[in-house]
Amino acid sequence: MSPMTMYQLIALFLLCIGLFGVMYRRTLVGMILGIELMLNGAGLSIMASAQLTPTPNEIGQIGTLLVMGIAAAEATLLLAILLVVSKRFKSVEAAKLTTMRG
Amino acid sequence: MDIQLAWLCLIWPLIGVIITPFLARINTDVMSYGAVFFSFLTAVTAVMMLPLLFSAEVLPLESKYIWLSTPVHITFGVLLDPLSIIVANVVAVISFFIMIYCLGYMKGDPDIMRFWMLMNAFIGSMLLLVLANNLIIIFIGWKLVGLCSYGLIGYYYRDDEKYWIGGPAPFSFDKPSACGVKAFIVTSVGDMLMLGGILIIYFYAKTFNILELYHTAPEWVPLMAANPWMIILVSILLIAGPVGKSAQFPLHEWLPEAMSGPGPVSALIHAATMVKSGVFLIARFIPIFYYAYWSAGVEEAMYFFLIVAWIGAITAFLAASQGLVALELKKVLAYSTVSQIGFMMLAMGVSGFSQELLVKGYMAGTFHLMSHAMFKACLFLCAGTVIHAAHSIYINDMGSLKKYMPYTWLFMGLGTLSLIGVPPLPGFWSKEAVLFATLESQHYSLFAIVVVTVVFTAFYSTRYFGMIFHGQTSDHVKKELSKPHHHVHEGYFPQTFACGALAVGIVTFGLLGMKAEYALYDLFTIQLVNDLGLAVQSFDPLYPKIVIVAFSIGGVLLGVIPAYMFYVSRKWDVNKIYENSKAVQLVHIFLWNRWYINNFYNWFFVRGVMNSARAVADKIEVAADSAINKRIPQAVFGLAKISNWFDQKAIDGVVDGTAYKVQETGGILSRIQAGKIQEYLALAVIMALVIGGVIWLMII
Repeated sequence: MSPMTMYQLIALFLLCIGLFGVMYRRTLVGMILGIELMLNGAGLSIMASAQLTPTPNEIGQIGTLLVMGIAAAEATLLLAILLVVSKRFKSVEAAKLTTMRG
Repeated sequence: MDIQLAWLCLIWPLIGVIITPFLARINTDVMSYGAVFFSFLTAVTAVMMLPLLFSAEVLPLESKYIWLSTPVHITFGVLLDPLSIIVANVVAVISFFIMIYCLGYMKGDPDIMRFWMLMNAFIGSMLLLVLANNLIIIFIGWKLVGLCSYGLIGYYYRDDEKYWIGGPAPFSFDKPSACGVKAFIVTSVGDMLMLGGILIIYFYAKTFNILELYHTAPEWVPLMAANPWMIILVSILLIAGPVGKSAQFPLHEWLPEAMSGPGPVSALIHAATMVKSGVFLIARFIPIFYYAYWSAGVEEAMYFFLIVAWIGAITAFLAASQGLVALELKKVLAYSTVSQIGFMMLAMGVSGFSQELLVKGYMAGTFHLMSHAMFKACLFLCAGTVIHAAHSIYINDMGSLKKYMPYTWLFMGLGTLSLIGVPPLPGFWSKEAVLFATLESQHYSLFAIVVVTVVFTAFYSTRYFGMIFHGQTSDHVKKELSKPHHHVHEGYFPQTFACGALAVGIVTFGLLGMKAEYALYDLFTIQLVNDLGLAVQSFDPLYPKIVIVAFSIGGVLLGVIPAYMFYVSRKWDVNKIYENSKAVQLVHIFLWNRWYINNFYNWFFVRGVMNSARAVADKIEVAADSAINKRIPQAVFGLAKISNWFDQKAIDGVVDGTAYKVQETGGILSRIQAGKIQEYLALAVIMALVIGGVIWLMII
C-alpha cells in the first residue's frame, strides 16, 4: 500500500461518506454537510496527487485552495437558500419541500 | 514521573468526554457522578504537580512528541514552569468544585448529557491551553475553549423566555443562542489578529516553541527590530487575542451578554478560567518583549507594556462604572469580572516599566488571577443559588433573603468582602500587590484610575449584597413565598457544599496571604531571572507599604460607607437623591447605556453591514435582475409569437392525434417527477455506477 494509494482511498472514502450523507440525510442541513465532505475528499485527492507525483507541489496547493474557497462560497449560498426555503415551507426536510404532485 | 502528570491532566477530561454517552446508557445519576469523578481525577493530578514548585530548580520541564515534521516543525508537547503549574491548578481544582455544584444545580435538566460533555471538554481544552509548550497548540486550545464557551452560553438553545438575559430599555432581551454567537464572533476577531501575530513571530524566529523563543531571543529580536514599526505591529496583534478572550476594552461587550448560560457555566468559564487565559498569554509573552526593551535596547518594545497597562486600567474603570447601576445580579458580577481582569492586565503591563518591577508586576498579576478565580467562582455559584431561590435575575426583585438562606449569605458575604478587598481575605493582598506595582512604576495617572476603580468596586459590591440579602422583602419575593412549592430556601446539598468549600478556600488562602505572596515572588524570580536570564535590578521601594495600605483601605471605606447607608442599613434614601439631582440622573443614563459602546457597535457593524447590503441590492442586483428577468423573456416571447402563428397554421392538424398519446406517456413518467431531490440523486448515482461499470468492463 503506497502512500498515494492510501491517500486516494481516504479521499474516495470521504466522497462515499459525503454522497451517502446527501442521499440519506432527511434535512437540507445534513445534505449540505455531505456536500462539504465530498468537496474535502476532492481537495485531499488533489493535494496528494500533487505532492506524491513529480508535479510541482504548488499546483496542488493552488487547486486545493480553490476547492476550499469554492466550498466556502457554496456553503454560504446554500445556507442562504436554506433560510429562504425554511421561511417559505416552514420546514427543512427534503422530502416535504415539494410542490409537484407527482 | 513529574512530566507524565501533565499528560495525565490532559487525558482525564478527554476520557470523561468520550465515556459520558456510554454512562448515559446506564442512567442519569451514573453519568453525572462519572463526569464529576473525571474532573476529580484531573484535580488530583494537578495537585500532585504542586510539589514541583518547592523544587523549582528542576523547572522548566518539557516533554514533546513530533506532530508535524514538514518544513514547518511543530511539536506537540507539555511545558511545566511555575506559571503553567499555578494556572493549571487554579483551573483543575476550581472546576472540580464547580462540577460538584452542577450536580445540584442541573438536577432534572433533560439535556444534561450535552452539559457534562461540554464541561469536561472545556476543562480539557483549558488545560491544553495552559500546559502547551508551543504557540500553535496554545492557539488550538484557545479556539477550543472558545467553542465550548459558545456551546455552554447557548446551552438553552431553545430560547425559552425564562433563560433570557437583558434589561428594561434600552436593551432588548437577548436570547441564549444569540448571546453565544455574539461571544464567539467578538472573540474570534481578536483570535484571528493574534494568529497573524504568531505567524509574524514565526517568520522571524523560525520556531513556535515557547522555550526556544525565549532562548533564541538574542538572534531573532534584532532581526525583527530592523524593520521599523514591526515590533509595534506584532505587539498590537498579540494583544488583540487576549483583549478579545479576556473581554478588555474594545472587545468587552460580549461578556455581560454571556451571562445567559447556566450559573455554573458563568462561574467556570466567564469568571474563573477562560477569561483568565488572556492574562496567562500576556504573561507568556512578557519575557520576549522585556528582553527586547531592556537587553536588546529596542525602543519600540515598550509599546507592548504601555498598551497592556492602559487597556487594563481603562477597562477596569469603565466596567466598574457600569457595574454601579446594573440591575441584573449576574451582569453586575460580569462587569466586576471585566474590571478585575483589567487589574491583572495592568499589573502585567507595569512589569515592563522598569527593571525593578518585572518580578513584582508578574507576581501581582498571577496572584490576583489566583485569588480572583477563587472568590469570583464562589460569588457566581452563590448567585446561581440566589437566582434559583428568588426566581428572578433582578436584584431589585430580591431583598431580605438573609433569613431564608443563611449559609448562602455567609459564603457570598465572604466572597464579596474579598472582592471589595478587606483584610485578611485574599482580594486585599492581591489588589494591594497590583496597586503597589502601579505606584512604584511612577505612572501616577494609571494609579489614580485604579484607586477610583477601587472605590467603585467597593460601592457596587456592597450595593448588590445589600439589595439581595438586606432591607425590605420585595413584592416579587412575597409572591414567590405565597406559592405552595416555592424555592425560597437553600439549594441542594451539593450546591451549598461547593460554595462552602470555596469559601473555606478563600479564608485559608487569605490567612496565608503574605506568605503566598513571598513564595510566588521567589518562584518567579527563579523562573524569570535565573532560568531566562532577564536583566533585573534589585527592588528598592520608593514608597513605604503603609501608603498603599492607606490608599487601599481609604478607597474601600469611601465606597463602602455610602453604599452601606443606602442599601444595607437603608438609613439614606437612594430614590430621593436620584429624583432631586439632574446630574445624577444624567450619569445614571450614561452608565445604564454602557457608555453607548454597544449601541455604537450595533450601529457601525451590524446596521452598517445591513445598509451596505441593501445598497448593493438596490443598485446592482435589481439592475442585473431586471436585465435577466425582463429582457430575456421578452425576446423569448417574441420568438414564441412567431412559432405560435406557425403552429396554428401548419402543425396543429397533424399533431392533435399524437398529442393524446404523448399526454398519457407523460402521466406515467410524471410519477417519478415527485420533486423529491434525494430520489433523483439516488437514481443519478445508480445510473452513474452502471455506466461506469459498463465502461470499465469494456476497457478490461
